[in-house]
Amino acid sequence: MQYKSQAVARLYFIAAIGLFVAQILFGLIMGLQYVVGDFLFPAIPFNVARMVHTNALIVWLLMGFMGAAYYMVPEESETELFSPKLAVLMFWVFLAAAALTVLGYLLVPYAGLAKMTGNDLLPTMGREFLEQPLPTKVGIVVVALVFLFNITMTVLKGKKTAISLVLLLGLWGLALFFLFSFYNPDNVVKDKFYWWWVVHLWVEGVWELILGAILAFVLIKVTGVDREVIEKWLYVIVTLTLITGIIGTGHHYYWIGTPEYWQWWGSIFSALEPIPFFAMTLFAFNMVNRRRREHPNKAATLWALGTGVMSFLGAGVWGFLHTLAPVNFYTHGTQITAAHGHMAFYGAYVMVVLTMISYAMPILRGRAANPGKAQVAEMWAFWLMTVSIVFITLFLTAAGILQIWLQRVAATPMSFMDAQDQVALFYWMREWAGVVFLTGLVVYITSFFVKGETAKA
Amino acid sequence: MPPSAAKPAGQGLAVIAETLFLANLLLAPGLAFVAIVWLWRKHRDAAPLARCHLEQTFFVSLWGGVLLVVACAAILLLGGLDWEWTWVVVIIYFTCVHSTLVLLGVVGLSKALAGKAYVYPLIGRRCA
Repeated sequence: MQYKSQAVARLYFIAAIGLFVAQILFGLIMGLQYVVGDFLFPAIPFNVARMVHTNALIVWLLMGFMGAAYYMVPEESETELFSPKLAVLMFWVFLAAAALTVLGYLLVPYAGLAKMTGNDLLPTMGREFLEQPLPTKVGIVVVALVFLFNITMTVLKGKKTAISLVLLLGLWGLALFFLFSFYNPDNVVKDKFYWWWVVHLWVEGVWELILGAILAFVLIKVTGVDREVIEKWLYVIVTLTLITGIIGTGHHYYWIGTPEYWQWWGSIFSALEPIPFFAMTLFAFNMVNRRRREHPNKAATLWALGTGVMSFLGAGVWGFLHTLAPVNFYTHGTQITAAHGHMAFYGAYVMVVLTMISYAMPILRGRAANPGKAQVAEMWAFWLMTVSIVFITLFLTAAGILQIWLQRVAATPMSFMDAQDQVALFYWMREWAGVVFLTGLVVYITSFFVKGETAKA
Repeated sequence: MPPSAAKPAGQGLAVIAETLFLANLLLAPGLAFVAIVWLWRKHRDAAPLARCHLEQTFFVSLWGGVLLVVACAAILLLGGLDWEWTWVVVIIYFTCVHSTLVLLGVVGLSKALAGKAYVYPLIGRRCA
């Protein structure tokens, strides 16, 4: 690696992969609970498994983003990190907070946890994805601010590039929008309205900027294409993201009690949201086709191309599938949403973090790329995880369509639970696809321990 | 060397052909195909790169029509509109085939932008 302080990224990447494993294990547990309702009950109730599954995802992606930033920024800014010690300290604080929160979810009933952690002082808990106790939320803010201070100071003392500035914009936006998790008005409409400012403006707004910056960084390294060319693409992607994503928030406002005009605004702008993902796919393939060097890290290139394709499919295509208000009238809150969620998170954010880890980890371990056998194992992991997430998405889509018909279209509509019984076959198939995903993850982790001859970094 | 001098012959036409292929799938179905047909007939003696992309986009668009319009119509006719499984099959089928064609179009366009020939897998025509 070019700068010693980049080494702090390694800690973040290892913890991210550890939490990724936890996320998948709890995903499998709750997947089984869909069809065997009392599996592991009362030790791990469904709501707890779901909380750990989604919260672990968010935290490990944040760990991945932070690791990526600590790796990228010194290289982009051509200077050592402002304070590597602060980065290491914040890593342990973040990890401890994540571990304590998960233990709290697993060991204490949620209402009791709320009482213990001061939720009555400032009620923020009990909302999907923002279930974290108040001290954890405060901890996230502290860690994020210290992290941003460290990264921003590094950029300020070094060279400013388009990539580092887009990354900073995304990371500052991430921290800023998280502050809305502390705003929890009594009015349920307002509550949901601002809740989406965290959830939507993260994943369909500022996170896309982080995604674009990471992808651009890795593509410069593995293809050798001129920075100017890649930066132009990045500007286009950022513009398209912000134009479509911000007002696209309206697709969450159709049925929550907001004015009807949101059905128009939301439909029009969110129908345009696949465009930046389309651009990203074209960007990735275009750069690889115009490459000026054959980088020895084939696996990283595969992850980068995969990010383009899968984010377009998951976020773009499956998002568009249910984004228009007249369609969403039927699909809202069904398994179609779950199908979209799984493929979009995997395709966009899981894959881009794994792209970065795939590129950076060998260098952090003192080599340009992993040995051939290790890369073959990693590419097997890529295909196992990617193909299984495609099948998870297809099975959930099938379950969703059937659910909509039985529950919302049929002349004699079924109740929610009766409809769930009818789609159980698809839940079983989803569970088996999940087992294949776990197998892919095991192969992925194994790839780090495969030995062989390597070229020096 | 100025960038234009480095461009392979027929690259502009190749890029237009692939862009129209994507437009036919995403923005202006039918209309963009008419433009592809027009270009395909007009530029019979174009440079090999352009001709390759024109051949691909013309024939794969025809295949796309069969795979998307004809096959979906057949599923709807055979299954009937009042059977839930018709909708399960047709929505998933259409989404998968349409997005696969779009992704192949993206690969085709990126190849054209890089000045390279491209043959669509399975349904593409061999380039001369």
